[in-house]
Amino acid sequence: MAEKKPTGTVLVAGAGISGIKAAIELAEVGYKVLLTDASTQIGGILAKLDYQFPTDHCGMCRMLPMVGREYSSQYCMRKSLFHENIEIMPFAEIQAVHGDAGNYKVDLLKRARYVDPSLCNELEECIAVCPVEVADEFNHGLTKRRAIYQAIPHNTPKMLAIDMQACTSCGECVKVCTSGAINLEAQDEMETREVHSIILASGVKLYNTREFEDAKSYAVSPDVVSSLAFERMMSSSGSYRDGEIKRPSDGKPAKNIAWIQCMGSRNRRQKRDYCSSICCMFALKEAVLAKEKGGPGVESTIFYMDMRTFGKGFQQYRDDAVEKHGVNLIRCRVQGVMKKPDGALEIRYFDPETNEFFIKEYDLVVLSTGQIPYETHKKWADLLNVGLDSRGLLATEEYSKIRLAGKPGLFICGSLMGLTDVSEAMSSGIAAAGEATKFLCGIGADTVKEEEIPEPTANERELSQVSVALCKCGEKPGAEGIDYALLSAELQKYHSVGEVQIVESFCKDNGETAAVDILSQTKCNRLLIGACQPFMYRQNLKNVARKAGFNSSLVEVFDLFGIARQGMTQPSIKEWTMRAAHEVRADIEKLNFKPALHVSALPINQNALVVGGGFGGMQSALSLAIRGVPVHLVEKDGQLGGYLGNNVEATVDGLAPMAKAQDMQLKVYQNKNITVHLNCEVESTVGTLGSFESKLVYKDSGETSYLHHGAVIMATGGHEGATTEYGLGTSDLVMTQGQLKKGLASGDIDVSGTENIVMIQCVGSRQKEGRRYCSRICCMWAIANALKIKEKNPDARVFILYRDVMTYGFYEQYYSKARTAGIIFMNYSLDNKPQMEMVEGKPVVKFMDTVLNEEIELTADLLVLSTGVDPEESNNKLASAFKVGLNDDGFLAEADSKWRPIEFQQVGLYLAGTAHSPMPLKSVIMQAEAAAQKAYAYLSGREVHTAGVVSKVKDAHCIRCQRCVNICPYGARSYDDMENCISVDPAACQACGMCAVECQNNAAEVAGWTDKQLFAVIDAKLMDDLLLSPVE
Amino acid sequence: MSEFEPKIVAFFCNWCTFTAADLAGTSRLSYPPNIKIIRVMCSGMVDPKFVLKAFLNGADGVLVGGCWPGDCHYINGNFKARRRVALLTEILKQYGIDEERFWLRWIAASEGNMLKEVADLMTAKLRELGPSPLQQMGQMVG
Repeated sequence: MAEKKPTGTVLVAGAGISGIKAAIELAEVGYKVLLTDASTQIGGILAKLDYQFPTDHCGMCRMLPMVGREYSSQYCMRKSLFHENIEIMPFAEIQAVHGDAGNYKVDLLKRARYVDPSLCNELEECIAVCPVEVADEFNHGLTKRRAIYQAIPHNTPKMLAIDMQACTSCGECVKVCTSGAINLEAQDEMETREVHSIILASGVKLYNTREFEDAKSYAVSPDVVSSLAFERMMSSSGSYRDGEIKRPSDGKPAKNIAWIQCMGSRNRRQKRDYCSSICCMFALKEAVLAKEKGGPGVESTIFYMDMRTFGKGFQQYRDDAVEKHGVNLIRCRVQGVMKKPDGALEIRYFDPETNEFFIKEYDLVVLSTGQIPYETHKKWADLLNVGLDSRGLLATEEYSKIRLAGKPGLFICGSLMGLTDVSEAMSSGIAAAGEATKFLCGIGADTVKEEEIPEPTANERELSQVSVALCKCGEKPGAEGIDYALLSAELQKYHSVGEVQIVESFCKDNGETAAVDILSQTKCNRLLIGACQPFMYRQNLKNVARKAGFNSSLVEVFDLFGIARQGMTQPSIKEWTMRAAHEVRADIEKLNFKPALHVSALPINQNALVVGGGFGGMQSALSLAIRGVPVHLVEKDGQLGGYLGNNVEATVDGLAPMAKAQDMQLKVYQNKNITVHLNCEVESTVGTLGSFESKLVYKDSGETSYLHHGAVIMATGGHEGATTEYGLGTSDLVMTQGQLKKGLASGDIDVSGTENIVMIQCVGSRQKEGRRYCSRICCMWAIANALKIKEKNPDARVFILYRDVMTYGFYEQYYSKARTAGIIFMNYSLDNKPQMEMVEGKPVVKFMDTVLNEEIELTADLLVLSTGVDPEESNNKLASAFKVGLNDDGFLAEADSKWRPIEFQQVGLYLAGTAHSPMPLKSVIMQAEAAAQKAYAYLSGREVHTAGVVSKVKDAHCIRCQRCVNICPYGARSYDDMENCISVDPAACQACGMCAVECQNNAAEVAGWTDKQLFAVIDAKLMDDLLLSPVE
Repeated sequence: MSEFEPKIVAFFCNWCTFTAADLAGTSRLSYPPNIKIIRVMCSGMVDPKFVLKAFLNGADGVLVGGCWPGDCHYINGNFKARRRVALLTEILKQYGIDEERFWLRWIAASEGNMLKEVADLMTAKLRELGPSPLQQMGQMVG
């Protein structure tokens, strides 16, 4: 008999989005996750953001799993999260960590909430009677809350807590609480948990204008707010009302709004020599939203130092903000804000475009407050006994943003790595889950094995008889709002209701057995369960039903209290009960006509295909191969390594790509799970989910071969762009940054005698013609080359002509270093580009000096152009082979720019690295790790379990017009010309129902959402209320 | 006879508007019970025949609630809804059903108060308009 392996358990500390993402990914593979958060709720910063660019709305729900949907929540993520394998423990802090990798013992301090969420009936009478009012932290003090409160208004379950610092212990809440949920004497508790691995996702502390000395000249009025507070001012659960943004001081509409960037960051004097990375996009989004939501006449002005639009789609968003929405951007460091006697805020600034000083008044000033990383890092370093690097941050391994140096089993993700945007938080969360999975595989931890409960068969032809089971919630008097006897009598009157049972409690252990006993006596064939929080208990309840002999697809759960309470202020018990009875009718009707659903399992071919042999490709191939997945690595050139691995010796942050590539290549060739195909391209692909067949063509021999695989990771990378501007190619003195880098490394370019070196940034980039995007790495390349030149020849004068220096995050220190080294940075704008002409064989560059405001002519000994990064041509072929999209710039288009950055719409297809957009080496490796994890999670399932609720085809009604094929957003429908029918890929289908509406013949329908059901529901909803009213 | 109380069938998308209704409910923002909420997965799932069925069976108004454009959980379902609603409105008009009786609104999950606002507005508007012409016809026949 095989030894029983322990179930892999991971602690994820911090339940912001990256922590949640890491938890979901691990739970999907089948590991147990303990997700803790120091605050009373989950959601992190994103709980406060109703709007995220580029859609300017929320898309958080898109991070939920696409397959195996039944195991996880299927509702708005801002409410909460539910997954069978995730245990959520808010308001808990890690006090100590003992043991070593694979065997950690974690002491958790569970803070007292004073309200027991398992007893609370959520009627909130306690809140109504609480006499204490304090500023609400969630809304940054814009609104008030009581001492007993719900921290995030949209969370479900509500999870109330008492703020003991504000509480006067008057006991009013205890008196009105009928469920005994409040205990003012509650104490903090300690609990020790054993876990195999720990992921830190605790985010960073944000700069706070009240705490820091250097903010004093700004925070002069309540109308100077942080960017997060402004977010709450635009939220309807914050202070946004009547279509206007209200000024905190007097509630008047704010029309003229200014943003001041780099608040707390990019400040060397305060030892904050970093950029907070996200604030530029944050401010742009807020400025656009303010114009949209603030009513007519809103003016948005952003004062910035460099507008860092380095990510995918960022530059486009900036252009739209300026051109379509009319946001004003002014490059100027504002020194302070003055408060005028009438409350207006005065800003004095210098406009570099007109060279004039201005004094302008604003109604509201938003400070783009950055991160304060060090404290958080110090705390973790002490707790976990790990090292800090020279900057005071947690030391990660050299090429990884995720793995803590020298500490296997410990990983970080999200804003702990430095403030990240949503997309990077997602990638890092997945990558951290990937590292943890690799670690758990390594120590032989097992995944959760589900309890096999056989699915009872259903006879669909039988007349529907519904058994209604109402949960009394044990002795919890939460149900006092409902009269069970009356409700049960009302429901029994309804046709097709066979019986109404009242069950003591479904969720408690003994209650479950009792419920099974009662329900197995029944003669009914369908079951409707009325209980609380159905989204949390749905799967449990369905298991109970299954044990009692009901086919789980013929079981529905409704929220007994929720529906009754909807929209009612102070209902009487009778009103409430009648409302519930009324609402339940629709559920009964829907259940009556529900067909039994079948879950199918499609086998997945266990091979993975990785396209591209650069860093992204090699890393994902290795990561999969270590976990035992057979990988085929296809590279179009004659050697592995890609552009970076074959051309770049050193990067600005001290990495050595060429050496690293050599090292990785060796590992790739040594790994028996990896087959390398050089000089090879993917020509075309047939097949669908779980079973692809790709045609590989070898360029040299012209031979072809066919490869079967279940997943594919596209990591095609990119290369240095080309240009005809500035005489590139006509003179040896004009070259690209890549050429200079190579020349400096090999010694072919000698700078010992050179006097003037001019570098021009953004050549052919960030403009309407050519590359519209920022290539993200050129500023770092230019700085690296410039520093290298200075090192070789300190007397050389290096000029870098830039538009915005994109040294985001901790790259900022190299920008500072370059300026200290005497490298001269000159700003130019797109409408006044530098000009070049050759005079006596030397390039002469003419440009405007924006400080002196005069034109300068420089004879350059070397003119170096930053020509950006171009995607590979082969993306076109790949995109058409796998039917995925390309964006306008030729990069692969991911499923969702924020929430699903490394996936495509169809499961089994992933992307990583520069195929997505240009990015630095460490980010490529992180994305590759994330893509490998997604592919592993998918392949390790061995088969795709389709959801029961998927779309179907009634073949006899179908006229093969294929309109459903065209409308399906997931490509789940296709026309099978061999069989002459429409087929549905049940694993790709997300049951959105577009096809059912599009079909003119009712041939397409979604099981569980059929016309018959919906019609019956509409009828039930419109049925006269009188029919059900009790006879007095 | 008591004052006319319109019946409004509301098809709300699971991800945004239904959540907003839930939020309104839990934040004690009362909205008129005239709004009969039917949860659908996406506003793009609302078949025109559901709307017709609702009107035929006695609804005085139909409200479709979905995610804001660009925000659909199913990529672009709400755009499809918008297109269909525009067409259907034209058709309904030909049968005497005023466009004021058929609303499409984008309400995000966090906009509980907007849901209340829309529900209040629509109920008030329909009180003004009176019972649906289809019902009046039904009464004449019946």
